[in-house]
Amino acid sequence: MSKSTSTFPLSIGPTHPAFKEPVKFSFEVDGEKIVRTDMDFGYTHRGIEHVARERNFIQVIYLLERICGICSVSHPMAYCLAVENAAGIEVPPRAKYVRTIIGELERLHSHLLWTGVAAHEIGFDTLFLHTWDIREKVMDCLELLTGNRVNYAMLTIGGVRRDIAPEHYGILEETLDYYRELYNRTREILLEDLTVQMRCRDIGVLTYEDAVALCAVGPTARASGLPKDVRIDYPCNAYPDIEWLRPASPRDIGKEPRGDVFDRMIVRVLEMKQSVEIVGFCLDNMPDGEIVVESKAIKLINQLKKVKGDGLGRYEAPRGEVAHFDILDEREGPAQIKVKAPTYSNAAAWAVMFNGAEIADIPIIAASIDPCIACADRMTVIKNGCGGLSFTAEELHRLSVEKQKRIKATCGNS
Amino acid sequence: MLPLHDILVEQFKSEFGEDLLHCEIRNRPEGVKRPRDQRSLWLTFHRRHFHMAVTFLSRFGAPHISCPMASREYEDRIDLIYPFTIYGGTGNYMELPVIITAQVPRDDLRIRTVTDIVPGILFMERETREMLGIDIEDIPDERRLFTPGNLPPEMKPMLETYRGAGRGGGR
Amino acid sequence: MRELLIVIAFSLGLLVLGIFLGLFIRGIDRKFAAYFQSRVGPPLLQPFYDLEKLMIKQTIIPENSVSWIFRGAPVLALASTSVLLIYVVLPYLYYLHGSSGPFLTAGDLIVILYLLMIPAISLIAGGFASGSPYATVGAQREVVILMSVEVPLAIVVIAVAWKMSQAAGGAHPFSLLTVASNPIWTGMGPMGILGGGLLVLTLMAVVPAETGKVPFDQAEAETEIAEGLLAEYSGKYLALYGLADAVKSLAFTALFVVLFFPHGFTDLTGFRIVIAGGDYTFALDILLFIVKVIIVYTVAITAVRVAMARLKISQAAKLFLITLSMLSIAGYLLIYLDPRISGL
Repeated sequence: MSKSTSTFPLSIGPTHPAFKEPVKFSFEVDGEKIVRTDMDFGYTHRGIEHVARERNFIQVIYLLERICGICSVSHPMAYCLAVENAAGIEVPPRAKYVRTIIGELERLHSHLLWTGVAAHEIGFDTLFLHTWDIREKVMDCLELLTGNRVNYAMLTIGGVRRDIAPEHYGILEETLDYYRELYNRTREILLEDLTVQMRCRDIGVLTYEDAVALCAVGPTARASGLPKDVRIDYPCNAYPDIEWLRPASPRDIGKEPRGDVFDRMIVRVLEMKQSVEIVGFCLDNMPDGEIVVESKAIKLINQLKKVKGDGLGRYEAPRGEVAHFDILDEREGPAQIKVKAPTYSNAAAWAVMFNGAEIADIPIIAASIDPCIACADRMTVIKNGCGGLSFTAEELHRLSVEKQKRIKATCGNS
Repeated sequence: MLPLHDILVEQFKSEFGEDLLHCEIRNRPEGVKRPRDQRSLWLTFHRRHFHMAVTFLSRFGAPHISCPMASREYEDRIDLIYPFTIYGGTGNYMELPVIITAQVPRDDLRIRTVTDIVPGILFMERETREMLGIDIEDIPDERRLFTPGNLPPEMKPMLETYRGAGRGGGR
Repeated sequence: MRELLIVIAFSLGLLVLGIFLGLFIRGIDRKFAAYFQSRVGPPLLQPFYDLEKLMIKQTIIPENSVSWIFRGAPVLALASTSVLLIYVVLPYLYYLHGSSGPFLTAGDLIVILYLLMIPAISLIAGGFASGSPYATVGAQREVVILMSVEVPLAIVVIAVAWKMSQAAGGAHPFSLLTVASNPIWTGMGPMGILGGGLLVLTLMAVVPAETGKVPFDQAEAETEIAEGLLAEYSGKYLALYGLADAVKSLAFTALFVVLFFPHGFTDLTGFRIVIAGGDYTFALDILLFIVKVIIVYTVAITAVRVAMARLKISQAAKLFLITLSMLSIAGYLLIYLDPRISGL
């Protein structure tokens, strides 16, 4: 509110109630207005790319599943596609459809989750609880199909590990009907509520030009009028069969894209409907047959051990394009995996979105790209005898015991 | 009329001639009921011509960087693999991954930045810098990206030298 | 002298009851909010448990804070809200009981307006004294809210007082006793009722702002500035703020009731409840008052906070300074014009 020309620094993060994961923003603030943004990553590095070099092809799938709890289909999917591309493995048709169904159910639950988080960021807790309430249905459905709420362990190289049994079709259809019924009501709450519009319209604008230059992906790009969607541009699995699939855009409901937070919300709402319809399509057109090329892990690893080459696997995760680049070098496991999560691409766009925004807009803008910091951060190093960085398990345990003692001592004194 | 990827290959060949060290189009059939080929274009350049190649690519459309640069190590050089894509957002199967490999000699680990053509690549170049120790010339932001500040500067974790370095570290 | 002692004793009793009632209503509020959000919600007595827990927790004073302001602000907040509660409720209870006392005309709307500001000011002082950037931003926001809310609130008070000066023949128009004994709706034409409606609407919007609830909780916005003003408070001092908040919410909703719905049981029905020679009307009136307070609390605070998102500070300030000020002025004009037009 002050009219002073001088600015002051404001750090938000690494831990802050607005962020579900650690990231640090350093803002230069003039009154309530942000004039400069800088960010710092790396607080959740787990060295996954490094660890992946030590494991065999099958172990890596489950390691990559743990890059992110929300896109736990997307990362293994991109990895499997990359390895299949490199080794020339053909996936059976039924497996392609099962992969698509699981992927779209994941997109549905991820978008519902995002809606809840965004609502909480703007202080609308009722909407947050409502969307998380209806999200339970798809989570139950995923648990039924795969055995887990997250980390489904469903994919493997050359297919899927579990089939969708005929008795599950009815339950899946029921779930789809549940969301079809709820769609209009949810859309009304999200897109027609006045306070939501007041907080999201013309906030955090990313123009078309910036979206292209900064390589934005996923709903963030689509809200800026850049119709980029790997499912359509470079389709895999069952997506090539779906003729009507188009990138979601605010134009679908008669609004010109402005690239603001509200447009990102529109795109995600439309994509929820899209996901439901895609799952419906896959159920109607499900081919019969095998679900995996080679179900024996040892045999598969031996087969992959003979391959020398590299492959790029791309998949549209709920948040945008996931790309894995795998190098196979006649080993038991991949020689190198490079992982790109959607947040990695979209984070660069943050700086543009924040400029000119108010402090009150920080949480919703940060949330608007649906950030998954853990996805973007994947690397750090633990090496013996390397400065202050290395700790063995015993040392860490000792340190934590000491800290607890210290806390107990100080609390007792006061 | 030739398909887009073939035109692209022709153009690259006539522009770069011998400097285009390797060129390959890969096909992979995808889809069940309407099968079509997923195509990708693989080009290899020496690091001298890399910036020119990306500039040339940007004439056909804004290149999008898909993935951070992977690396393949040899005795005398490190291959840096840049997975670009172009023609994104134009429809079914129109997008074309153009994977450009740049050969960087071991005794002089430098490559020119392409942030002037693809601004979105900045984070990935920063990552390459800290993980592989390849110096990116003229990079607008010289700070580290992911690794902690107290990492010894000579340590470049994604180099082959450090394969297995994490083993037993936590046990 | 005896009367003075009685008033003091009453006030203290009222205060204790007020704190209990305030916390209890907070429990009801949370239960209702949970119901709207399809949750189970905490037990009704949760605010008491929270208070108990905060009391035994460690209290941390930040090193770079201005310690005496930091410690003093919560105490001042609780003290001023307590006085506010007594000033609002005591004259009203006298009115309901039908008795008179020496301090009746002291319950003055102007004093109440000032008293309403003190808890906010102590919050601001505590925030600035915390030495935390979040608390500083929160304090700045609280200043903006405080200044913009005062305008529509003052207009409402002036409108009511003008009506009182007409109704009571000019004697003590600002006194709460006058307000309570002459409900604003009496002798109003349709235009006046419309005007009164606008005033009620304005005050409804002021309630969440004065008590710092969504959509006007910018000063404490959890996801933006990490509880802002209260970011550095812990333990006993946080408990004091919690108490002050509960009492202030109660006092402000009570003020709302007294201003617009002061009718006692007898006013509404014309009966008095006499059982076995004892007159229980007063007890019933108090019960009715509490029910009215809970209804106002639920409608103006709970329902609003579950149905809306938090506004930005600039949007909130604009809403109060322009929209709601206009609305309350329109209400005032309608009330002012009502007798003149009805008389024609």
